[in-house]
Amino acid sequence: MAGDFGELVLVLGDMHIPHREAAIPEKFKKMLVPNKMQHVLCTGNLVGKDQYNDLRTLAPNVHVVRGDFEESTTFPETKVVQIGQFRVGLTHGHQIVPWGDPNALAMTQRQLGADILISGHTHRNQVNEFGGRWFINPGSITGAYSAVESDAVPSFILLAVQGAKCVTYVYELHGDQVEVSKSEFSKASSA
Amino acid sequence: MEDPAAQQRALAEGNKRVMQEAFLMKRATDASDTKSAFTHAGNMLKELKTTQLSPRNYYELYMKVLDELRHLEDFFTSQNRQARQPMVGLYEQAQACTMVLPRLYLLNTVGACYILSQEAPARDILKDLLEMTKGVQHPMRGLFLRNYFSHVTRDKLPDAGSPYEGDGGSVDDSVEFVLENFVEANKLWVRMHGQKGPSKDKKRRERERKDLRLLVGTNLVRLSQLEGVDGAKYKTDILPPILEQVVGCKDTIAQSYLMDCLIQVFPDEFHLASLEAFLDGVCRLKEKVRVRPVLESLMERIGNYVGEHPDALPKDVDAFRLLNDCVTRLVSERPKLELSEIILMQVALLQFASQCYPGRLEYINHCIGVCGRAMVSRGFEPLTGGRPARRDLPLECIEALLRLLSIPLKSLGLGVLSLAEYIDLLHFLPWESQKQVSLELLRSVLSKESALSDLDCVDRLLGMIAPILKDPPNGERGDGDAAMQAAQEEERRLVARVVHLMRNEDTDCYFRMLVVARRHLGQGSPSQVQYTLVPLVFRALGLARTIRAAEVADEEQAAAAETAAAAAAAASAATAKAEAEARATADAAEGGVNGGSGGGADDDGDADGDATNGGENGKEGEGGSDETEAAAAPAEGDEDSGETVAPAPAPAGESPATGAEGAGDDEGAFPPVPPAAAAVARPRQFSSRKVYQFLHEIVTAMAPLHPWVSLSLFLQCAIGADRTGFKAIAYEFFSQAFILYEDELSDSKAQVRALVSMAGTLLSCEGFDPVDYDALATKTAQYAAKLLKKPDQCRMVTLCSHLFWSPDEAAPGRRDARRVLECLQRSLKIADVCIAGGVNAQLFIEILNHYVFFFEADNPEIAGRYISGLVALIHEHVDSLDPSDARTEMERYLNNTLDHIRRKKEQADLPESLGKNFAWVTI
Amino acid sequence: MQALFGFNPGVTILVEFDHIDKRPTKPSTPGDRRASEALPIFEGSEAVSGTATVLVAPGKKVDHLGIKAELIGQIELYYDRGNHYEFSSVVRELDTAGALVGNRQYRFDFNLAEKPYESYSGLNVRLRYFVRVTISTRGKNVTKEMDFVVQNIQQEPEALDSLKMEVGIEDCLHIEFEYDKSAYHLQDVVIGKIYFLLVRIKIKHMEMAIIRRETAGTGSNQYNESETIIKYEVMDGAPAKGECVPLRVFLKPYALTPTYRGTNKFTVKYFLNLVLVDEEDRRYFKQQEVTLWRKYVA
Repeated sequence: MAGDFGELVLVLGDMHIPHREAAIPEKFKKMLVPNKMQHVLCTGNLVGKDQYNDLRTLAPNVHVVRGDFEESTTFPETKVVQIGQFRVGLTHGHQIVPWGDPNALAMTQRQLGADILISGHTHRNQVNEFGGRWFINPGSITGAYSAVESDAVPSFILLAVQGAKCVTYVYELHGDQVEVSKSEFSKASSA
Repeated sequence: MEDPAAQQRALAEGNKRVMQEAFLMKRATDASDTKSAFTHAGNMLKELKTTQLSPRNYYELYMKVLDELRHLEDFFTSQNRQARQPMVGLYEQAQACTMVLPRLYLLNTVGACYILSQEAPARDILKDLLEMTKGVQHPMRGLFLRNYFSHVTRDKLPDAGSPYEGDGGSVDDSVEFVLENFVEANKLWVRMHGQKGPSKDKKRRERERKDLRLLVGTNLVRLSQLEGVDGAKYKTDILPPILEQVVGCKDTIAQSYLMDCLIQVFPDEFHLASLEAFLDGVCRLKEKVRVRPVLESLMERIGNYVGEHPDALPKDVDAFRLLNDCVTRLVSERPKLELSEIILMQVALLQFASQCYPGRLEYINHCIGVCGRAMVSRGFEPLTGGRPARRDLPLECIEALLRLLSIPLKSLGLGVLSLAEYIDLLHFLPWESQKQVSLELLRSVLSKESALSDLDCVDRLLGMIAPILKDPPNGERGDGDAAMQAAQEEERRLVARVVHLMRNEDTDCYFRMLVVARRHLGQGSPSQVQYTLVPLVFRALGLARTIRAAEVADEEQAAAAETAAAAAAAASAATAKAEAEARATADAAEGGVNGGSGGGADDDGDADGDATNGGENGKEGEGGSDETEAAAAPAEGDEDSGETVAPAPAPAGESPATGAEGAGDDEGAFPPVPPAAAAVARPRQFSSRKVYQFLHEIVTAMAPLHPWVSLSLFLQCAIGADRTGFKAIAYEFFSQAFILYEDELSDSKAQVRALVSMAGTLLSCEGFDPVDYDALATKTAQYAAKLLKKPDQCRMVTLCSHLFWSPDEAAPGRRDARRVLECLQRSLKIADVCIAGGVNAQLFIEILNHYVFFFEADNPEIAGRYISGLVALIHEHVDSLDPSDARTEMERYLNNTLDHIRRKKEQADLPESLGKNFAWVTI
Repeated sequence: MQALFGFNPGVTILVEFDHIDKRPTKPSTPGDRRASEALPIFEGSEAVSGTATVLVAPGKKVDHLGIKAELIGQIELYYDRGNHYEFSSVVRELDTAGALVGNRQYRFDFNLAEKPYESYSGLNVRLRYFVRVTISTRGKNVTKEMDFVVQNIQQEPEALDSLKMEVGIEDCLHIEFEYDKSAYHLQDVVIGKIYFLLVRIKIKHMEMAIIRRETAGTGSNQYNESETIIKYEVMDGAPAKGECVPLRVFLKPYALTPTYRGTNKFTVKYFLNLVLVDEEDRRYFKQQEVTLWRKYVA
């Protein structure tokens, strides 16, 4: 619960190492240092086992769901994590058709009873409100190849959760430049 | 004297007597009684005559005495200064002591004070002290006495800038004195070796002797501390006499120690200045002396120094050549030198070269070559082609070679691949060690993120890492336990990561690299291709997209040109035709393939029948394999027709890369496009189509071994082809995935996962003709309906309902409201029988959500009353459940769903029709 | 003491040399009962003068036959007690026969007395000088003897060659040693070097001794006595072949005398004895005579 940011949550996924990329970009790697975040939420498709070990060094709480190319068979399809006042649902997203469709995602959100639904698979990051809930996709941290996203930009998201408030920072790597965009939302009081 | 208890006793007694006499001595000095002070100091020093103590214990006693002698020193100095007692008298008085050892300690003590008083030149006193000190010829006692000399005179040498310089002498005198003390001390030390005794004590004596080495080395430290000594003086006045002593003493222990001492004690620039002489000394050491560590530490020091001060390397001295000459001479003069030592010397030399001469690849090659020749001369041979070794290389040689090979890896990374002798030497290593080097290379490449953009480099790199890719030759390693297998997987993942470092702006070159990579990676053990070929697939998919984008751009350009030409010619009919052709390049290319997909559709028809008959897989499999041929053949006919205007002119001859592929070529069936069509600046040799063919080969080859991965890859290829406009190819890839599904996937969980991917992928494909799409969607839905477990069936059928309701409203033939409803109704039926544990209720809620989804999506077949009815049904089921976590979960899910519906009903900004629809839903 | 036994004739003699407090003295040799105090030193050529005081007890009168003073140099051989050989005797009459009443002083002066030899006090022999004052009476004579020391500064001996010698035991030990001179004055420093040419025995240490050999008498009555004046350790441990060990001994602190060869009654010779001791305490030695001479009075 340290600092002014509340709980820091690293959201990332779709590394596809070593299937599609060799490594997380150096610029990002330098930003992902241990003992800064309380949670790591990973949308899956780490693929290689060592990716998981790397995540484990970053934060005490690491949650991973299973992607469609996972080597490991131990990750669950979905997961729900309570962070601050938020119930956060986590799933890879390839199981939800049509891929990335807001209404389809909303079905899963309802199933998990999530205030925030985090999914990946599309390799395109987003932070959207839909039907009073928040839908977050960290994109692919390696900017890995995707058939449906012809120019995937490496990205991940940092959430700063303080009670009912959540600030999101989207980090995108454009060439050699890291661009950050910030947005903020609160948990709907009705829920 | 071995007994430690007796040692301790003797030491304690000695200490006690020293304390007693020291007490009396101090009482005498307090009373300014010089004579008595001498007497008691002499008595105290008598204790150092003991023969009872081991060097370590003797040292303790010596330190105690040393402490007490400091008092005496102070006393003499104050006698001289305050009582005006001339030092010369004290100096003479000290010599009245009739026992030589105490006398010489006293003389040194007074002598130091004498120098301090400056009543006589320091030089004369030092000379006399050194001369008299020869009276102690007992090795250990002599060494300590000489150490005492060194100790008391350390700040009293007539060094440059010291108060004793000038009349008291010069730095040259200082050098001479310290050198003399060094020489004499070393002679004493060496003499210990000759001391006789029972041979069983030899080890102990040797150890005790080594304990004393510092007493000799201190003199070298003293020399190095002289202010007046610079590199030139070191070279002419210091190093030669030291080397003469070291070489001349002919003692193994002394030679090893002192050479190392020289290296450690004197500054690096001195070594650089006198390298030749030092190395000559090294060559003249006794054969038993291990010269390698000596050279190693020398090179390490100089290497580090030059590394930090690159300008320090003298221009007129080729240090590498000198060192290399030395090593060469040692090897030729010492036939007994171990092979590992020879290699380790090259390790040091190589390390040195990489620090001091970073750009000089010939030096690196030289070192590596020397080792290779040494290996051959000792009867070892390179192991190629997985042949087991005829003679095992000793472990220390292996380790040495590994160290040698890793040095250029660190400095050059991939650059090692350009070293002619590097890979040759690698092959001397056993399989496992070769692998180690390969892994290190890969790690280095990865950590540097070196781009692999050179075809030869890729070829050599992947050739070199064969030990990772292949299973070890028979016997060298067993089947391995889990840990070993995990390690192996880890290694192969490294290879996989390296694949992603390949890149080249030129797509032809890039493609050739992929082909070469496939040749190497495909030769590995079957178990590893799932690690190493998958990245190749994704790289190729990326490449296909890149090439396709370029092709489209080229086509647009060509079309524009043609349009202009046609307009100029004003041949209206021709223009229309040309335009049509130009616009639909991809479609045109697909024309023939459509025939293929037509075949696929036919097969689908069969499959349909099968599905309804309960799934006769064998027959389906046949259909599938027909399909494969069909896909390959029509492509041929298609391009033969020459109706394509794709400006991808290939030269008449086959490219070397395709040639290398061998069998793949026959199937390739992509004959060169007539060069006449080349309307762009840069001819492209390999089309995107060629890349898909390549992909087809790779995945097909993997499929029997790794069906699950291959299925996923086929789907990736399919959607890749779809998104780049190759609908026939996409269809073919889908068909392959289906074949795998039918033939190879028997595990129901795997089937579910495959279906999820198939449905998601298919729905995301955009280019299929309605009839083809329908065939694929139908087939997928049939697979779903045939799943073994009812809940799986139910969920997958529900999922498949989406196949008939494309998110893209405009997609032709992709929305069939009726079939959506059929799917959902079928799901409900299946759910209804899943009564165990209230699963039906859970499934009903899930299906309800899909009803809501399609209702929101304006599917005309989904009526509000279905939702209302379903909700009522669910309530009924849920209410009948016993309280449990599952029920709580369900209620929550249901409530979330109902909340959603209510919200929709209330939302004013919904489109009129939809809002009205929801208004009809009652819950 | 004489008074206690009643023989006291009532006369006491005191003898005092001139300027006694300004003269160098020599501490009496321990054990020499006849010289319990520091004795004045005279050089051979010096005049020996002084005062003899005759104390007569108050109210007494002493008749005497004459008073004389003698300077006597004699050699005493201990084995032959009472048989003193006087090599020098000079008499001075101080007074003719008469009677003594009260105290009286007489001057004496032996300005030409022969003092050819140095005083010496050895094991078997002594060479002494004294002044004796005698009052002759009809009864027992009254005498007083006063010793003094004679030291003769000598000419530096000619031909001061260094002493060099090679000695050894075949195939065992071969050394060469060298003393810088063959004659040393009594405050001199013996400087030498010992070269080890061959060392096959386990030497423990090496010392140098200074030995005095005193020979007295002649023929069957000859007595030889050797005395080690000093043992001085020169080397600790065993040297290797080729080593050279220095030797330096200051002679001043030791009770040495010049070499005596001048009388036929006795001789005193000095030897430097180099001794090597091996680990079984066997001693290998070589003596070498050196001449000691006097350069300074001390």
